Amino acid sequence: MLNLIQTEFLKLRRKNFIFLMLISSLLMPLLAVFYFGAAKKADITPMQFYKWSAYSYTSWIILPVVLGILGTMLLYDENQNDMLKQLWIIPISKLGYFLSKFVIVFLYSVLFMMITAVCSILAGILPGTIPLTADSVSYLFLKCFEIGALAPFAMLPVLAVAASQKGYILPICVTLVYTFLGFILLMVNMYVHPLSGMTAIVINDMPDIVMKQPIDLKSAFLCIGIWSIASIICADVTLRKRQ
Amino acid sequence: MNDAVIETKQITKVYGEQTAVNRVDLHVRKGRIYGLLGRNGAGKTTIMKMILGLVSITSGEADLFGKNVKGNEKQIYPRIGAIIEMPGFYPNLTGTENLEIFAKLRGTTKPRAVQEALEVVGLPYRDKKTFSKYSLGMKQRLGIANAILHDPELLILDEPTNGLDPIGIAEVRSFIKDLSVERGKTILISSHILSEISLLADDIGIINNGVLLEENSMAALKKKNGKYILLQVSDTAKASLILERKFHTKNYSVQDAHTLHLFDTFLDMAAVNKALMLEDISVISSQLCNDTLEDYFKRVTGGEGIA
Repeated sequence: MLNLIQTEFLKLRRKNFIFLMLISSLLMPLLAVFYFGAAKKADITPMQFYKWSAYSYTSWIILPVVLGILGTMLLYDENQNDMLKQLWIIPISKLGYFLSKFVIVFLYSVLFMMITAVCSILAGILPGTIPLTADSVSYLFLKCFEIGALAPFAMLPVLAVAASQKGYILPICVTLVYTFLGFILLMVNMYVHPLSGMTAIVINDMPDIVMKQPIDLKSAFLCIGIWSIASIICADVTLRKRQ
Repeated sequence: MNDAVIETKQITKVYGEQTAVNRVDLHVRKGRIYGLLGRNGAGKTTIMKMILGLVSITSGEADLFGKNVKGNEKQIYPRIGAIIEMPGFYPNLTGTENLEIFAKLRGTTKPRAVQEALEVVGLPYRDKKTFSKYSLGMKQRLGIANAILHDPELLILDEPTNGLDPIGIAEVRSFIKDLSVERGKTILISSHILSEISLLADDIGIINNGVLLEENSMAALKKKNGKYILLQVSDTAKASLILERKFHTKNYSVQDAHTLHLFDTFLDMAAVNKALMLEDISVISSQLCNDTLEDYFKRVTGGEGIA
């Protein structure tokens, strides 16, 4: 498994687009600068600022879309170039292969959110919009890590779809539909869609957030867990069946 | 056969209503080069995929090193190097980087394994050209390098000279031969190019429409492909009737309206010529010829020739 993960890193050489996608982590912190700059409020708290720059659209839309594209890219070359048969006769396990892709998505996701956290701090402090406090910074990093760690699990269904396809069009379409569905369902039922479940976990202890449903951590983890297990099983079965 | 490295027993592959491979019994012996010869779409790749366990077998069994692949992948696969169809690699990586990935996944411990494999196929080590910029021939060479990277006992090569130039074909042929002769590797190679198989293989299997029509050693095949009488006549339809009625032979093949191959060379040609002329058939020529492998292939497959 360690060999598989190491080789996954080697495969990323010269894939500049994957690293360019990290730039999208700057989007919400920059928007927050403009938004709060235009508002010209004097009493902006770090929590208010970070909700905008890190906890909201970044975790609801930007990160899931980026992870969906990343997962598709990781699986695309091997699917498109018919490389899987060469890998199977090494041999490597189908499940190990899928999980090694997941590990890369996981690490990327955490890195993405850590960059978001750093940029949020810089975007808030440098223009003097918010004060630098240890509590708010540590809370920001904790929440960003939570989002970074949970989002890959919530995106496992998309990774499973990408594993079953030779092309990239369907997985990318599924990424978009899946992400926006997660965002829409947030206000309907938080425990049906893994991305909504992830949001429920993340906002669980955040002040001043009112949701239609009461937050139930068990249901949220159960939702993500069931979808994750189902996705891993589906990916394993489809990889075994592909001839 | 006790020394069979690959042995298939009546393997069959059915896709929907189409039978791609039908009851094939293949025997590849240790240290020999087995050439699987057949036209495009004859079922060569499917057989190789079934042997490697990449495609499920509808019925029958395929054993490698005396064991079924299913359930023994970890013991069997490290002993095999294979190219199936066009070898695919990571387009963003160089040849060396691609092979380093495969070496790592295989747990290859030999430090110069990648360099040596590239040297064998004549590709540069640590060059900057990525796989996406490789020519077809270079891609094929890299595929072969990957197959021999871990020094396997058995090589399964599906049309390994596809896309190579004539010099490249000769080079690949030469090192495949060396691998068998000098290093004792067992090689199963498929091709639709008859001349290539005839120059390489020790044993040959002729496949057509998913059926293995003949399996024999090349030496036996050459002996078998002995002589025939080439008859050029004004009307082969009439001539064949006379051969059947008067000489009681069906051992001939009609090539076209004026050419006929008669395989019963012991027949009295003077009598044959006379009988034909008496029936108003002009005999333009009759001569003793040696059958080529291509002629033999045509005869066995009952159709057109092969490249």
